[in-house]
Formats: sequence, C-alpha cells, structure tokens
Amino acid sequence: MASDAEILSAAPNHRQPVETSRKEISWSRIGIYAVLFAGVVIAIGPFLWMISASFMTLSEVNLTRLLPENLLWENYATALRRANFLNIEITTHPQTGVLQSLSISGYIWNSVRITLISVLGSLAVCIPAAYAFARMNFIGRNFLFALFLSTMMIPGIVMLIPHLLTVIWLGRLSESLFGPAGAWFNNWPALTIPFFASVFNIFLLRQFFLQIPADLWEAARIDGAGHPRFLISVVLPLSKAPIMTIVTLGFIGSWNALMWPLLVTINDEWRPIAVGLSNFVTADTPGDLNLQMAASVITVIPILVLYFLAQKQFTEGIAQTGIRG
Amino acid sequence: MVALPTLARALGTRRGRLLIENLTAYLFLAPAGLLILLFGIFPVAFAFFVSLHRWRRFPDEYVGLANYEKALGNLGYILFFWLALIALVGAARMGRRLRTLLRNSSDHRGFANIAAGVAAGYAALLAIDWFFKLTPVIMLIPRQVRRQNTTLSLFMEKLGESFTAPDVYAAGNLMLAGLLLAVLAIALALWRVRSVDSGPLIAFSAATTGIAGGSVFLLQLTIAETQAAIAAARDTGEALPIWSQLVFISAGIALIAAAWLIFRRGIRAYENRRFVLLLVSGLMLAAGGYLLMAEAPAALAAADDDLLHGFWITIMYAMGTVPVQLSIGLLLAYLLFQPIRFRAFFRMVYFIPYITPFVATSIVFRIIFDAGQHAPANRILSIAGIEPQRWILERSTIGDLLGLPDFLAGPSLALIVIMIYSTWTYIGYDAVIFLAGLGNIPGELYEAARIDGASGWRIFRHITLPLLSPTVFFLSLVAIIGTFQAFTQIWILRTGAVGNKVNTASVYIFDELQNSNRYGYASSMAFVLFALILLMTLFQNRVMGRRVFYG
Amino acid sequence: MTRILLVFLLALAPGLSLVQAQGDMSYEGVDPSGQTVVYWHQYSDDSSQAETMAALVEDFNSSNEYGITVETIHQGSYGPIEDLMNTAILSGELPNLVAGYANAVAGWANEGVVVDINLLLNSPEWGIPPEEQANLNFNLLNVNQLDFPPFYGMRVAWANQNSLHVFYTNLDIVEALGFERRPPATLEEFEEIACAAGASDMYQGYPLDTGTSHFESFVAAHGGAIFDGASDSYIFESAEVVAALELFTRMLDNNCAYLYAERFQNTGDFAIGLTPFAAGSSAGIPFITWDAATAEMTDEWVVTAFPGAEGVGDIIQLFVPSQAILTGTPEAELATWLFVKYLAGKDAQLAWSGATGYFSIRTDIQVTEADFTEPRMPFARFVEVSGILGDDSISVYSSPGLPSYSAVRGLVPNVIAEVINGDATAADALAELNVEAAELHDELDA
Repeated sequence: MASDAEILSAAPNHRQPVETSRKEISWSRIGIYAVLFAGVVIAIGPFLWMISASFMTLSEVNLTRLLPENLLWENYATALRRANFLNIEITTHPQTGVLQSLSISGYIWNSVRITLISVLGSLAVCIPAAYAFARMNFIGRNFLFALFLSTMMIPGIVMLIPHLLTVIWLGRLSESLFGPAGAWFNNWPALTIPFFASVFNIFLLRQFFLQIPADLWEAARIDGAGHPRFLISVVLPLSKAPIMTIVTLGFIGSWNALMWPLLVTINDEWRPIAVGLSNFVTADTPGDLNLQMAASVITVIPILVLYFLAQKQFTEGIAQTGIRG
Repeated sequence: MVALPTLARALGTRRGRLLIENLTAYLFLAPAGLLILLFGIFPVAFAFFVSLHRWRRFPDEYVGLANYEKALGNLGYILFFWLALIALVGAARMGRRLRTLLRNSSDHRGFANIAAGVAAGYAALLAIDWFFKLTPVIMLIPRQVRRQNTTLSLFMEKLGESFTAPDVYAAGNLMLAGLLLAVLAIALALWRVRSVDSGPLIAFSAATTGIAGGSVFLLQLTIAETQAAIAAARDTGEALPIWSQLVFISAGIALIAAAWLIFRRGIRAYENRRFVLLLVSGLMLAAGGYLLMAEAPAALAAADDDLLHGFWITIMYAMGTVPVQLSIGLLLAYLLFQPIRFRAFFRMVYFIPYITPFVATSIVFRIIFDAGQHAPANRILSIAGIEPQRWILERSTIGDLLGLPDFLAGPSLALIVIMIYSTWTYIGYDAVIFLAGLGNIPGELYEAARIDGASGWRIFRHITLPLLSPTVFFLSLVAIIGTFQAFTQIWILRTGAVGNKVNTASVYIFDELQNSNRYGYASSMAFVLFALILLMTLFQNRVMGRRVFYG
Repeated sequence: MTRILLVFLLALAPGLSLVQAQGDMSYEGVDPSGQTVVYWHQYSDDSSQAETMAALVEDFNSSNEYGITVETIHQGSYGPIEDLMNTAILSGELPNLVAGYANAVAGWANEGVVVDINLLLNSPEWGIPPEEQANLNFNLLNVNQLDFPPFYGMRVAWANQNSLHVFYTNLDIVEALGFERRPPATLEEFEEIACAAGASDMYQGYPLDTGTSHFESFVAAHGGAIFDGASDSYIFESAEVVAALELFTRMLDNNCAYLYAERFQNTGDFAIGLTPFAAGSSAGIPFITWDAATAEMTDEWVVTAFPGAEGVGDIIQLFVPSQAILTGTPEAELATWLFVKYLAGKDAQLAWSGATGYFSIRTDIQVTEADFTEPRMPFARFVEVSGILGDDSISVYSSPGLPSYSAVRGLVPNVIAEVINGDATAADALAELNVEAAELHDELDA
C-alpha cells in the first residue's frame, strides 16, 4: 500500500533550477532578499500595526503612532465585552463549588459552531460525490460533472434572492416538521447547508482521488470490498492532505463570511464573528479605533493559528487546483 | 421470499454489477446533487423568472422584458434575440448530429426512438412550464402562514392548495399527460426496436426538442415584447427602431468577427494574397466598427446610466488590478523559486492577506488611506513634498488631480485605494500558484539553456514564460471573473462622500436589492452581468486559450 | 405550445399579488397574558438610552399584571435595522416592536406588517382614555399618522425619542474671528464667519457631509423643502434646494467648509475647538460635552436652531424616531401595545426624558433638575434645547414620511458629492434627481 507521502510525491513538487556558483550570487542574492523582505513588510505590515494599535490609547491611534507608549491590555477586555465576542457564564454551587451550569455565547462561539457544522457537512457531502466522479462508472457522469462545474461561474448576486427565498421556504417546511427548533432562517441550517455541496471541494477531491493507483482498487475488490468500504478504509486514510485543505478553506470561508450571514441572521443567537465585528465597527457610537483594532486582532487570530498549523498541505492543495485549472 | 435468490443471481451477472455500480454512484451523488440543484441550478431559473416581473420583496405583475429594457435600453431586446438565435443554432446543430447518428445506425426503425425522444423532450418542456407556475405559488406559503403557528397540517394544506391552484392544476395535468405519453413511447421504442443506438438516439432527440422548444419560446417572447414596445412608442408618437438596430448591430459584430477570421488567414498567407486579405479584413473592420459606433449609442440611449457607469467602473477596476497583481505575483514567485533560504516562510507570509477577513483588514486600510494629515499614506506623500490627499474620500479622478485632459481621467482616487487593497489581498494567492507552476517546468530545460549560454532574462523570456502560460491563463481568467464578481472589498471600503464613483456593477445591483428592494430589476441586471462574464470567459478561452503553450 | 406558455405566464400575474387583509381588527376580549415581546432598538450598549430602556423594561416585566416579558435586542443604527427588516418581512421572522422613522415604517406598512396603532390607542378596553389623550403631544405623535393613500389615517408608529437637528456655535471662536459674540443670525452671516475661520490659521471652516438630513436642514433654512404635499411630488429642482446645494459648493470651493470622513467627526472637531460651528442631532450633546471635557476645551458654546436665509427666519428639523408595532398574533400585538402604553405613562416618560434628554410626548410633565440624571449632559443644555422646541417663532421641518423617502434619501448624497466635486451643476444634477425621485414616488408610494 502506498503511503501518504508516496501519493504526495506523485504530485508536482518544486524542483530547483541548477545551483549557481557561490561567487556570482552575492549582489543578485541581496537584491532578491531585499525584494522578498519588502514583500513581507507589505503583506504583514498592516497586521503588525493592527496588533500595535490594539494596545494604544485612542489618541495614539488617531495620530497613527507606530508603537504604543504603554501596552493597554484592557483594550482587549473592553473589546471582548463590548463587541459581545465571547461570554462564558459558569455557575458553581455556592457551598460545594461543583459546576452547575456552563453557558457559552457570543460571536466567537457562534462562528465555532457554524464552522464545525459546515466543515463536517461539507466533507460528508463532497467526499462521496468526488469519489463517484473519480472512481465510478455511471450513466451521465461527464454530463453531471460538467453541470456541477458550470454552477461555479454564476455570480453570487444572481443567486442572492432565490437563495433567501429557498432558505425561508425550506425553513417553514422544516419548522412544520420539527417545530421551532427546525427553523432554517436565523438558525444554523441557513448559515451552513447551502455551502455543504461545494463544487470547488468536489473538484479538488476528485483530482486527488484520480491519482490513487488503480491497483489498490483491484486489490480491494479481490478482497471483496465494495466502493463504500474502499472509500472509507483505503481512500480516506490516503487523502489527509486534500481533506486538510478543504477543512482549512472551509474554516476560512465560514469564519470570514459576511454578506450572507448579514442577511439571514436577525439576532445574536447564531450571528457569526465577521458580522459581529462589522456591527461593532459600524456601531452608533463614535469610533473607538483602538478597541476596533483589538476586536480585529481577536477575529484574525484563530484563522492565523489554523493557517500556521495547516499551511503546508493547504498551500500545496491550493497550488494544485491552480496548475490543473 | 422466492424472489430473493433470483435477485441475487441477477445481481451477480455483469449487468447486475453494472446496475449496482450505477445505483451506488447515484446514491453517493444524491446529497451533493440535491443541494446543487437547490442552491446552484434552481436559483438561476428562479432568478430569471423573477427578472420577468415587477417584484419588490414580493411578486407583483409580469412585465416581460421590461426590466431588461430598463437596464440596457433597446439592447435588452437585441440581446434576447441573439440568445434565442444561439439556442436555435444549438438545436439545429444537435439536429444535424442526430441525423448522422440516425444514418450510421444499424437499425432501420430508428424513427421510433426519435419519436420517443421528442415525446420526452416535449414532456420536459411541459414539466418546466408546470414548475414555473408552481414555484411562485409555493414560494408564497411562508407569507400566508405568517400570522399563525406553523404546523405540519397547515403547511401541507397550503402545499395542497398550491398544487390545485387553477393555472398550476391545468399545467400539471398537461405535464402528467405528456410524461405518460413519453414513458409509453420510450417503453414502446425500447420494447419493439431496441438496439445499441436507442439510448443516445432518445437522449439526443429529447435534448434537441427541449432546446428547440426553449429557443422558440424565447424568440416568440422577444418578438412579442419588441412589437409591444414599438406599438407603445408609436402611441406616443415616437419611432422605436429596434429592428433596424438589431440588423445593424448584428451586422457590425458579424463584420468584425469575419474581419478577425480573414485577418488570421491573411497573416499566414503569402505575397499578394496576403495583401488582399489584410486589406479586406481592414475594410470589414472599419465598416463593422462604423456600424457599431453609429448604432450602439442609440440602442443604449434608454439604458440605466448607473448600470453602464457600474460596468465602466468594473472595467477600470479589472484593468487596474489584474495585470498588477499577476505581475507582482509572478515576480515574487520567480524570486522565491531561486535557491534561497526561508522559502517556506516567505510563501506562508505572502498568503496571509488572502485568508484574513475583509472586515478586519479593511479597518487598517481605512486608517492608512485616511484623509487626515497623520494618515500613513499622506505622511509618505509629505516626505516627497506632495500635499495630503483625501484617498478613500476622493471622488476626483487621478486625471483631474494630475491636471490631465478629460479623456485621460481614469478611476477616482477612492477606487484606486480599493484597487490597492484588492491587489494586496490577492498577490499571495497568485504567487503561490505561480510557484507551483514554476515547479512543473522540467529542470533539464534550464540546464540545456544554461549550457547554450543563455542569460537569466532570456531563459525567463523564452523558457519560463511560455511554459508558464497555462498558469497565467488560469490565473488571469480567475482574476478577471473575480473582479466582475467583486463585492465585499468594495462595499466595505466605500464611503458616502465618493458617491457612485466606486460602485461597480455588482455593488450597484446590490444597492438596488437592499435599498430599493427592486428584486425583479436587480435580477435582470444580475443576468446581464452573468452574460458578460460568460462572454468574457468564452472570448478568453478562444483568444488567449490558443496562445497557451501546453507543452 | 410556446404561445400557451406565454399566455399562461401572463395569466399568472394577477394571481401572484396577495393582499394582506387586516380589516376591522378588534382587540376587545383578547388576552395578552404570558406573551413575549421582542423589541429591536438602536440604543448602543453603554449609552444612557440603553441603560434607561433596560431599567424601564425590567420594571415593566416585573410589574405588569399579565406576565408579559419584553426582550430587547440592539440591532445597530437605523440603517442596519432597515436591512434586517427587509429579510424579516420576507421570512416572517418579525420582532414585535421595532425602531424606525416614519418613512421606513410606511414602507413596511405597505407590505402589511405594521399594526395601526389607532386601533389600540382608541380601544375602549385597552387604549388610552380620551381625557388622558389630551395630555399627549399630538404635534409629535402625528408625524407617524399617515393621512395620504394608501394609508388613510393609519398611525403606523409611536414617537418615543424626539430630537432636533440643532446648530452649535463656539462663541469664543466667533469672537476671536472678529465677529459679534453670538450665533449667526442669518445663513449669510454663518457663511461669512465660516469663511473667516477657514482663512485663519487656528481654525477650520464648517464641517460638512453629504448626508441627506443635514442637507434638508439647509434646504429648510432657505425656506424650502424637498417634498411638496400640495402637489404630491418631490421638488428637488426648486430654487431653495438648488440654493442650498450651491451654498455647499461655494463654501467648499472657498475653503469655508470641509468634508469630514469619520462619523461624528464634525461634532468631534467642534468639541476640540477646531471649528466655530457644527450641526447634529441634539442627542449628540452628551458626546460633545464629553469630548470637550476630555480635550479640556473651555470655550463657551451654545445650541440653537438653524439660522435661516435672509427673510426666512430660524428653522429646526424635527427627528421623530419611533416604534412600530408589527403584526403577530393579536395577543402579541396587544401585549406589545401594553408595553408602549407603559412607556407613554407619566413615570416612564419622566424617567426616559430625564435620563436621555429626549423630549417627552406628554405635555403634563416637567423635567426638573432633580429628575435629570443624564450624567454627561448638563441640565442647562437640556433647557436650552427644550427652549428651541417651545419657541413658536422657529419654523419646524420634518422629512416626508413616504415609503419612497428611504430610497430617495439614498440617492441624495451621490448628487451632492457629484456637484461639490464639479462633475455637474447643482441645477442639472438636482433636476435629474427629481426625475428619479418622481419615478420612485410613483413606484413605491402607490
């Protein structure tokens, strides 16, 4: 059985052009590093200043100082509270100290829940579909694949109103079946289910599944395994890299989503963090820029942490979609 | 009980295994297929339906192509003619393929198959008709049950009512009859004249019927609407020269297309022939161009200025971001590809802007490009001795600011800030994909070139760039489509002070949705945008796709 | 077959419009017990409005005899609330009580989701008895009574926080610039002082924005309006509107005014003593006081009505943000009204007005210094502003309560921006705007 690494090495890797000799490098190399470092400054300069400004007083931000005089950690406390990002209420029994109830709310918690549901749902829907397209023969396969791909070209603005009406309608149906908990609008289904069947994910996975050697399937079939078992016990364990890519992309997508959640949420029960930040920034009170910066940093951190953890597979995955076009 | 072993035996055969494979595949596809149908395909059909109505939050009256006319003037009608004609041509081409298929068929009774296919296609049209009547009625259910507690029985009652609404009921019966007929015809065809060609023949004839029916519907709709518009104009004593505009503009475009074809043959031909062909092509181009210049403004006279302005802004936005972002991305990727340290670090850092939310990063950009003296952008200007600018608040074009003549006006400074922001966001993405593309170029080629004594630039120009062309093509396509769909980054950075100077077409359409609640009109404009994106993709595939070196 | 399709499509059209029949609704005998009332408001957290409203809600929740519970949700300012209402109307997930201006509420009423408050106000069982109604200030309340078709006297909302678009003058700066130590008496004098400020090294001119309300105050100061009730049409091409826009252009061109970027930067700049004038909602006075204190600005400043053009006299624009009761079950509608009625009571009004500086809708209460608890606003300021409302010599302006006004309002800033930028003349741009506004008026107000 091929290992994860072997499969990956079948994917294109960066090959080095011929090494140049040490003498001629000096100047051109300095030039290269200078340009690359300039790129770094431009790419993350705004973030670094965002972090710096999040510790400043309001007037320091207004004067766009580079660094704060004192680190105002309380900006973060204020921002967390004012922006309703995270509220954790723990009640313990007054005498015994035993945990009685734990209630978590706030935009961060909402985004975590939404992200989990949409990523898991997306995997559950896209993996079988991609597998079918990659490794099964059935009538109408090419037609269906082309149909799926063609939906990627439709501008979002065309779909906005139909999506809204569809979600409302399905919500009513589901409410009539499951009661108020089944609502779609202003509930998790409207925020997640429309994004389960991501054509991009199906495409990405299919490309990867196509590379899995046919011998593996032959061997599994001789062992008496059908498609479902082959998918679960052979294909999935080999597909950590593309799944990681999808998970990361899905996380980023639902963490950053702004316009659609703005339309389908009407209270803080399920409002995700990007909407929360946007509301905080455009709130009625005169802008407390330092607090806005602190809130932005809080919003960005989870994305960056995940990205640092997954970035190798992730950038590889992204790169592969590009060269195959 | 008796049937089970028989079933097992039947499934054990090759045919049986095939059936199981098919069924498993459909089962695997079912969730994704259903969701894509609901959230990918149905919305388009429904949005088209909406675009034929006056529709503000809730459906109002059917207005035909009036929304398209409002958006594009007479060009709206002309576009629909073209659409109908393209569909007709498509149907005709499929009909031709059908004929070859029939001719090559070993079976002489193939016509039964075709009849079955036609019946199926007709039934499909009836089903679409029924669907379009049912959908709006069903869509009203949530509104009807608004002041009551939603229960299953109430919902089902309303659902039942929608199916039996007079129009829907009639169309439903018609559809059922059509379906029945189609099933009978197909069964008959498969039973009596079954051959290897039956499947494709039935499928092809059904599709041909469907497309032909659709195109005839479109054509009839367009003709009826055009006639109505002309009659309405005549009543007020005006002439509406839609027909002549249709002829002249079509002729103009046909001439330009023909000129292009002749030009391509011409540059490959020799001597005299070459001269003649190029001359003819030039003349045709001039004639076509003249026709377009003369007629297009009149056809667009009644168009929505804000929409046209939106398209103009979109074009400037695309021209200002795509080339810059691609070349910087390529430069960074090329440098990263050199033997250097910390490659992984650089790659990781460059990608960060792409993954962070617009809401967060836009706040910093607002401060950088603030109008105040302390804004970083203004501080940099002051070092160079330039007066502070108003950046995101500046409606004036750079042409104005630099004192250039009007035709060199260009985008407003506010739009330029948005372009910078957008470029900043996407460079890392481009660089990462370019880097992967560079990695695909075989190292031996470089080696060979180096042995031949080629310099760095020449290697880049003659080896790297041609071999990278598929990546360049892919990225430019993605980037251009992206700019036409761009929304959030503009919406979030725009200020009241710049008015519509940064409103791309998508932003304007969203405003119509959100502020004026004109769903019907906004949908029609969204379709125009969609058509434009499709057209550009096709054009890019045709023109750029040919120049791509696939190695 | 295609012809059939077309005919069917056409025949379908009338079937699509669904009329929301409300008819002669009566609340007699309806039981509001145990209802939950969801209230979308726009009071930002930490503001005295939000705190006072929270206290009033808590008091109502614990004291009402029907066990009604009010839940408040802060939904951002009016813009976001209107956006949210768009989808809420589509989905039917409506709150019971929502904050909005008359024009926005009129748009919602067009969709049949707004309750006619007259039915509740005049209900023998649940309403306010006529003798008590005499104590209500119907000058304020009737901004929400829409007397034109298709509303025919429907009371779409209930005023609860009335404020004024006031004019601020920094007397020390005016004096320092060599003018008499008082607010400008006319618009011409205002322009002159602003120009002097713009020309000085110390100060800036008048902080200007492209907002519609701000512009309307200047139109009113020229003696005009943007809508004419008598002819039932928008009148953007009228001389007064053109003059107001030309004033903007002229002041910007001559460096007598500047465009500001951040929200509330105008009053912010005023509070730190940078500009001699600013305009803003009287609800913003606490913020100015606070900003001025933070910046240790000690100049003397006053709050007045807008100076009118020569011969027009002072004007003041009334902002009447209100609360609309939205359709739900009759029980929920009634429960919502009981909360609104509670807010209109003497004690609640005294507490509300005293803590927020808004004017009461009752004529039978007088906020004294002891009642006045808004910590960031000196009582003297409240008296100063109350004086403007009580001054009969000042003409009152309020923007048209038409559904189309929401959309028209969105068009105005662009036109202003276009003209002050020199892309079009005021007359041309406004004439064009008038055509668009007329179209919207036809389409949305029918």
